[in-house]
Amino acid sequence: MLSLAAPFWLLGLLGVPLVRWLHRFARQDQVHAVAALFLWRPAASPERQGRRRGPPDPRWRLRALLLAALALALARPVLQQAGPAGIEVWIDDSPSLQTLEGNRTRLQHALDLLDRELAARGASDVWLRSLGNPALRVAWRRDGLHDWQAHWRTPDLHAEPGAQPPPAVLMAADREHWLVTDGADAGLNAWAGQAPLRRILQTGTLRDNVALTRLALRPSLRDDGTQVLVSLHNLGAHQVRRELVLYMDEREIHRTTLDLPPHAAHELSLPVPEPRFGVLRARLEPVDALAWDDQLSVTQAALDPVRVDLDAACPHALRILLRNHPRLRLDTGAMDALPVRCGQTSGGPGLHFLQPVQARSLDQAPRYEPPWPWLEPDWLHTDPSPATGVGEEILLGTREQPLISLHTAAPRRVTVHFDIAQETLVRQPEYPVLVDALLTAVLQRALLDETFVASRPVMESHIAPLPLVTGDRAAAPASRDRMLFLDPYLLLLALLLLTLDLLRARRDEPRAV
Amino acid sequence: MPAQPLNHPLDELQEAQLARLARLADPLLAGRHLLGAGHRPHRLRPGQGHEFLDHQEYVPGDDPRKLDWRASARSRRPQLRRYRDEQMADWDLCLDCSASMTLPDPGKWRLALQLTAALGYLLLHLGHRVSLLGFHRDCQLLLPPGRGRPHYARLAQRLRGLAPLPSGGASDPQACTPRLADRNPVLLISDLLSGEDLRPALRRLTASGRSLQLLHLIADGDCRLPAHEGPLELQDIETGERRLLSGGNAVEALAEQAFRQWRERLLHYCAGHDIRYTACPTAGAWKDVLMQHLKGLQPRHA
Repeated sequence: MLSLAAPFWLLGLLGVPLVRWLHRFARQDQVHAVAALFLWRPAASPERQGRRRGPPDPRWRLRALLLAALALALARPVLQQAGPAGIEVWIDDSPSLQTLEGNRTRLQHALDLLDRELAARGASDVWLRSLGNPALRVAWRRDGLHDWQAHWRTPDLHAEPGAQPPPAVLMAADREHWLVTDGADAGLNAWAGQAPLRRILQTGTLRDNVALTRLALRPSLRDDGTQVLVSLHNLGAHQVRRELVLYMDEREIHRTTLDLPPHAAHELSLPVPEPRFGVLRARLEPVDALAWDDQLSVTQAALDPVRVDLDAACPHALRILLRNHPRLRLDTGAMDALPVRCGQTSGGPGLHFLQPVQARSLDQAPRYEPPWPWLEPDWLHTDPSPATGVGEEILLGTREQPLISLHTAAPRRVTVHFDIAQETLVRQPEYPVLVDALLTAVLQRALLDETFVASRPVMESHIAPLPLVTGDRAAAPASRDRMLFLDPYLLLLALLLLTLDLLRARRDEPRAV
Repeated sequence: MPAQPLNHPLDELQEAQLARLARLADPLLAGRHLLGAGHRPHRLRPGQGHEFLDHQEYVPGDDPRKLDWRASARSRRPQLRRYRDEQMADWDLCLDCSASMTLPDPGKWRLALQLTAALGYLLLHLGHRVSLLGFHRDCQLLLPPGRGRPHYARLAQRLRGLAPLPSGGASDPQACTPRLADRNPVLLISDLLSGEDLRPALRRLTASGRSLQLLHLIADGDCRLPAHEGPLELQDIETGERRLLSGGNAVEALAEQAFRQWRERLLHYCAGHDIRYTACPTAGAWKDVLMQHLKGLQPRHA
């Protein structure tokens, strides 16, 4: 069936009789060169006797055809070809599809359903696409029921991004698009309501799920141990009882029974006497339908002391502080140690303390900005208006001058523009806090309070299917037909006609001139 | 200028033929008829005069009364005494090189070249100096004055490499005027199809007493139209002006009438201003046309 996307341009066909009219005079390309035109002036002239109107210039037909081709091309004719269209199946491979229902995952159920649907339709040109990896495109084979399941990602234990709608550029207009999902993702459902999907296959019935959403540990403030924080959510509509078990390096260290109200979150904080270990794993027992979110693990990074290469020019107070820092070890000259330099100039990585030349206390206090401690102006002795280098970001300063700056480009360098050994400052309790904050800025680690976290978004564990308009969708365009846009062919025809007209005009040019 | 074509028109001019023609023309003309008033005798050609020029070996047929016995004794060979001819002149050959010389067929240009070469030979044979000028809208000195057989060779070579304009230009004789020396006799070979009124041009050419001889190339096809259907547009090959005609025999008859009237005016003017006029139909052979001009016996009207 032929249809027009822009039928307004058909008005251009009215120009065809106009072309005929414009060519109403016969071709006047019969030009004869003469040696002396003045001999022919007494002859009859067209002005006196009038032109004898013969048949129109036959070139009008070619030009009328050219105009018609252009008008039709602008009208964008579309030929819809009947016949089975190719199918692109978009498969929601988000974690909720890993929910076990009847000893099979929702994904397996969905693929079975898809297989039946495609077989029933007799489809042959089918490609399976992954919402999690749109670049993945696998040909469906009727006898390869589960072979292509291996292509789909198995979500890791940790956070996974939600099912993302495919880019519009991948939704080819000349193919049918299907969606296989469990409907648990509200965002995906919203897209499905607007997308040009021909069919939606939804699978999954279970609605209850409990998920571990956060496992964190940080040094305990009470002792040398570790504080553990566990967060879990009951996303179901029923109260459930679960056991939370903690393993440290595969050794069970804690077990507790929890009664979780419906649609409620629960947090558990408990101390672990060991300050250092490898892997902390939290697990809910027994596992529910979605086992993926029933455990979390966090690896505690090595807590070996950070080695520091301290400049000999650094003041005594700073040396004492760094030597007594529980996470530092002075190792002068070590290649991979953190350089700590003191002097007039700064350069290279590490922590640099500039010694002011004309030190004087500040006139105003620097703006209070965590994580820096509050510093009184008379604690800070600095040169008047010390300048920062190119690419320096001010971490702390007054309106007029920087106090602590960060060299943003590699290698990382923090520069202190005031006297770190100033007598008044050294005696303040804020002094070690200041130095620790400087170390944190240069190392990008809170040495004294490192936190290790493993988490996942709560909505990733939402498995309750939401209402979706499934089945065949009549609103989707292009149904089973293929569309063939004819305007490129018409434009090509117009171009050929134009070329032909130009060639004929050049051929028929009067050679007498 | 384009390369020499095959079967060049000058190939038909054999020097023996020209020499024979010159001997025929010599007693007819003796140089007097070619000259008009105001010639400038300064040639070295021996002839009738009183000023000694040189000696020339006697050949059978020469006038024995001209033998110089003293020179003959000295050289042990009969020597003729020659005197400077006081009737030689510088001649300017003006050849029309405009685009109209290509129509209606190559015959017009062919005849023009042949007449130019033949006249040049005759003049050089008679001891005159000859220069060649080509004109259309402008005039160009194609060959400076020279004499003798070597100069004819140069003239022929120059003519062989000459071609008319493919389009444009104008058969305007007065274009030659700036390059013509005063009082030099002029031979103009042209179809003269530059405009309806040639009198101003001829007047300028004959100003200051210059002698002018016109060899008017006439082609029957100048008043003919090709077979056609429907309207026909004519374009002047020189001016580019166009005119739409309805065609038919009546148009050609009108053109012929216009041509006759135009030519009659031209003849009348030439007759009244001592301009030697010769009609040169392009259908004729160059020898016949040339002799007709030399005899001056042809009536002024065609």
